[in-house]
Amino acid sequence: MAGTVTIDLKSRIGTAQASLSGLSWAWFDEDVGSLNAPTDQGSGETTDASGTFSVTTVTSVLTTGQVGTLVLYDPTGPKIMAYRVAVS
Amino acid sequence: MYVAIVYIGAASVGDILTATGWTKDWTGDVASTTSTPRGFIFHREVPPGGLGATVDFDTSNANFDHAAVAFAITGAEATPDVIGTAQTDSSGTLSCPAVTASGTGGLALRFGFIDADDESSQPAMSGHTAINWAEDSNPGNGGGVFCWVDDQASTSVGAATASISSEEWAGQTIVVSEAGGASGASVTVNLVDIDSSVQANLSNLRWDWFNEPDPQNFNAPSDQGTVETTDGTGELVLDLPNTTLTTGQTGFLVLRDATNNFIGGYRLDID
Repeated sequence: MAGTVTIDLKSRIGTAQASLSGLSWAWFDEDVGSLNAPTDQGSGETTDASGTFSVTTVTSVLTTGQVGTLVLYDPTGPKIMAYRVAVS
Repeated sequence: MYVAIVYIGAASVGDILTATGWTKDWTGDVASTTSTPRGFIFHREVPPGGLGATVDFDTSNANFDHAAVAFAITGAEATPDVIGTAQTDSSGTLSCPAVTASGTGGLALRFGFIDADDESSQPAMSGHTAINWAEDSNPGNGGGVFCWVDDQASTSVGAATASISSEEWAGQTIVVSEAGGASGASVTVNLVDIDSSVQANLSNLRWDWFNEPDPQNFNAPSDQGTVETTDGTGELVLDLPNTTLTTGQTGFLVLRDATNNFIGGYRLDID
């Protein structure tokens, strides 16, 4: 089921993480501690000038408003991020 | 670390030992006609920086004496795999019970508590290494405590015996698993918040471990859990019995503290 996962990436002091590139990611329909294999994953993603990261999930069965787990990795930072995010 | 104690006095006084910070794995009486010794087995993790803690007696009861031994095991699980049903009898053959463990590769610890101080050295137990022993001569005919260890190669851990001077005794068996479980692997991370404050004593941490170091290649996690804790220094150690990674190889940990709503990811090398 197609859905969209969107999150605004910020640094630890609240600075928008604009124009990041080469982000790899994985999306899970479950909570941490009960994760299965990711339903969707990819690489080469970017954030826009506002630091917004957005990807389309294709295999996830979550519907709008349901919460999954997003894991992000920026190998150039390196930065690692994880979020509980609702599908939009 | 394990501590085994036998105190010699009236068992009817109950548990007169207090052990803050320790877990009491077993206590039981040595069937006796006179001095009625009672045995105790405690364990606890050794915190960073070493162990300065003691096991204290309830000093309100002064009518007893005791013998105690202690030993530490490197790389063992913090919680015993299985604790046996203690055996007691009055004879010249002390017997520690058979147990069935959930895994293999750990250690079988044997404990003997004897209503006498008649042994001039630690009795041998076939296949086992003698760890430590102690005796005390008072009151009555005194008491002794003896500890042995053997590799635990099978989930079926048989009974084991030692020849002693004929006396009343109690024998106990505890199996402790090797940290890391079947694979022997573990990872360690020291948790701090965004201000670098140590995140000590967090509980109910949820986590998943991936053998792949990059999310784009994640398969299903090899190991996961929901009840981990950090210690007093914020250190989190996770056993990974199912990982195929070996020491120095990098995987990926996803971690969430449901209580404080923290969530994070870490690329970590296997310890």
